[in-house]
Amino acid sequence: MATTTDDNSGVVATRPGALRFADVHHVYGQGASANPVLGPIDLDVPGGEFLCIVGASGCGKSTLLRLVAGFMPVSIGRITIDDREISAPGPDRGMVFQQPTLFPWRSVRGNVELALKLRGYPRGERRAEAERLLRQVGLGDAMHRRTYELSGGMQQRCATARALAGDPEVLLMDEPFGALDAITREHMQQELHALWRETHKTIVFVTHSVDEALILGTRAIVLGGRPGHVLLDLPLNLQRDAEGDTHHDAGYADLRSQISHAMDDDYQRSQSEVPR
Amino acid sequence: MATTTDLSQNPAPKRKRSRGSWLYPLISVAAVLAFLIVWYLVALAEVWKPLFVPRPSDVWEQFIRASTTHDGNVGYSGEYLWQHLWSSMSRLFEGLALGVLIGVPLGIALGASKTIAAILHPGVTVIRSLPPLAYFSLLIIWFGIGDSAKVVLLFLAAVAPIAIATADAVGNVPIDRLLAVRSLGASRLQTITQVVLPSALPEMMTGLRVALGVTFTTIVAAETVNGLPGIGGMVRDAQRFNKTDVVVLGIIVIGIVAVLLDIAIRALDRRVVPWRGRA
Repeated sequence: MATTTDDNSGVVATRPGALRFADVHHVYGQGASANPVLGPIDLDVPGGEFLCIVGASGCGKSTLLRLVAGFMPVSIGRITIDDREISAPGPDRGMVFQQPTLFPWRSVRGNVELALKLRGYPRGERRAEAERLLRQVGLGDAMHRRTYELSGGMQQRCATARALAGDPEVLLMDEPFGALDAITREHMQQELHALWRETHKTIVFVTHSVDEALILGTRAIVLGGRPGHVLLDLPLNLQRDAEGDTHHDAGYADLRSQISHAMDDDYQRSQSEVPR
Repeated sequence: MATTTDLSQNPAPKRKRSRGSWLYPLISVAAVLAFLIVWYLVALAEVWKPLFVPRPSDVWEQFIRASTTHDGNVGYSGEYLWQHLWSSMSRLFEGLALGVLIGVPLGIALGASKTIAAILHPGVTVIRSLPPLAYFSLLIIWFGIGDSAKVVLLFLAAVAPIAIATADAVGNVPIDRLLAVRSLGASRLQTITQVVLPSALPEMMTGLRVALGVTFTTIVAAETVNGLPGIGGMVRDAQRFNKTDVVVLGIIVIGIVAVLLDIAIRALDRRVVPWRGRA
């Protein structure tokens, strides 16, 4: 299975879903109460990359993701996706939140069908497409269930299927496995990686777990400081074993300690700072 | 509200559950039977005069008389018991329907716009705080002693709890749920119809249940003014002629209907918002 071991080389510059951050800053509030939380951020994310953003709570990683989602405008600078400037949510991006935000008044399939409807998918094709997406995330047998009957892991699978509706080029994930138990999280990570290998969508994945970043990503950045900026930017070219695990790669420990050190230094600095 | 969710989230062992399903209704039935027996014994012993405590058999006889034609007299005061009850219920549902029709859009407007909330919230809060009968006299002056004054009264009693529950719910939709639907490209209107309103449904149903309780107590009291036909009017009329057995009959009917209405709205709630407390 030589082809599966070098799957990280699947990153090709011509794939769609390339993100570019140019001198991006974000400030909450205005005037005297203005609170700069992010910036400057300068990043080039080629299409098809699996980018993990790591950092402590409050480092601005969720803010960065929400800027890409288009929920709020950037204060300074610009973010583009395939050279189109992001100013609002769009069908080229799908988002998965930490807490599943499914609609309990709809069935599992109904949730995905609504997403397809909002994305302008033709009425007659919604059902078949929703079922295809649900089978893709392993929910083929749960299409008619009510969302509140599902386990946490199944709810996140459904949320992923919903985010994939309309075939966005970029998948944004905000600590999607943070609320799951360890075993479920491990399975979800493997499935997400398989999904990425199949679709080669650009994935921007926010996590505070260094190990999660090393298992999933083709590249990791550490956000920190105040306002938050990129402290460390590392390509991850770890080899996968038959289980899809990266632990056994000789480079794992070194990458892990580099990321951990960057986060530790950031923590020490934040503790010696005078609180604003 | 929380009683059903606790059970369903953490189902008890089958055996215990099936035992509970017949045991507690049985205890309720036994308690009602015990009350009837005590009542019968007290009335039989004439501890108090029948004017104060009529016998169950007298009340039963009045039930039969009020439900049939006897010696050429139709029911009670020219209407059968069910017609009295129907008059009251149709007033109640008219007022309640108007309350929902006006209260839900009003609540959405209150919850969605701070300006509208600033203008209307004091008024809605005052109406909710006032006992409905406090402004009934004013409504009689405006609308006369006919049905309109009563329906307007019931509408005012119903609209405030429904509007306030809706407004609270609309303002408290989880932010990530709104972001999720925005990220899918929903318009403002789609966000309201697809997410805000369904998210608010559980609280709106609670508001409806509160409104039903308030309108029910209000209609019985309001019918003391020119309430015939009407179950409250029947009780009031019987009281003026010292027909205690008819008064007791009316009270029992009102009580049974109140319990049935509550059962009905709880069943409706389970159908409409099966996810209550679980999502």
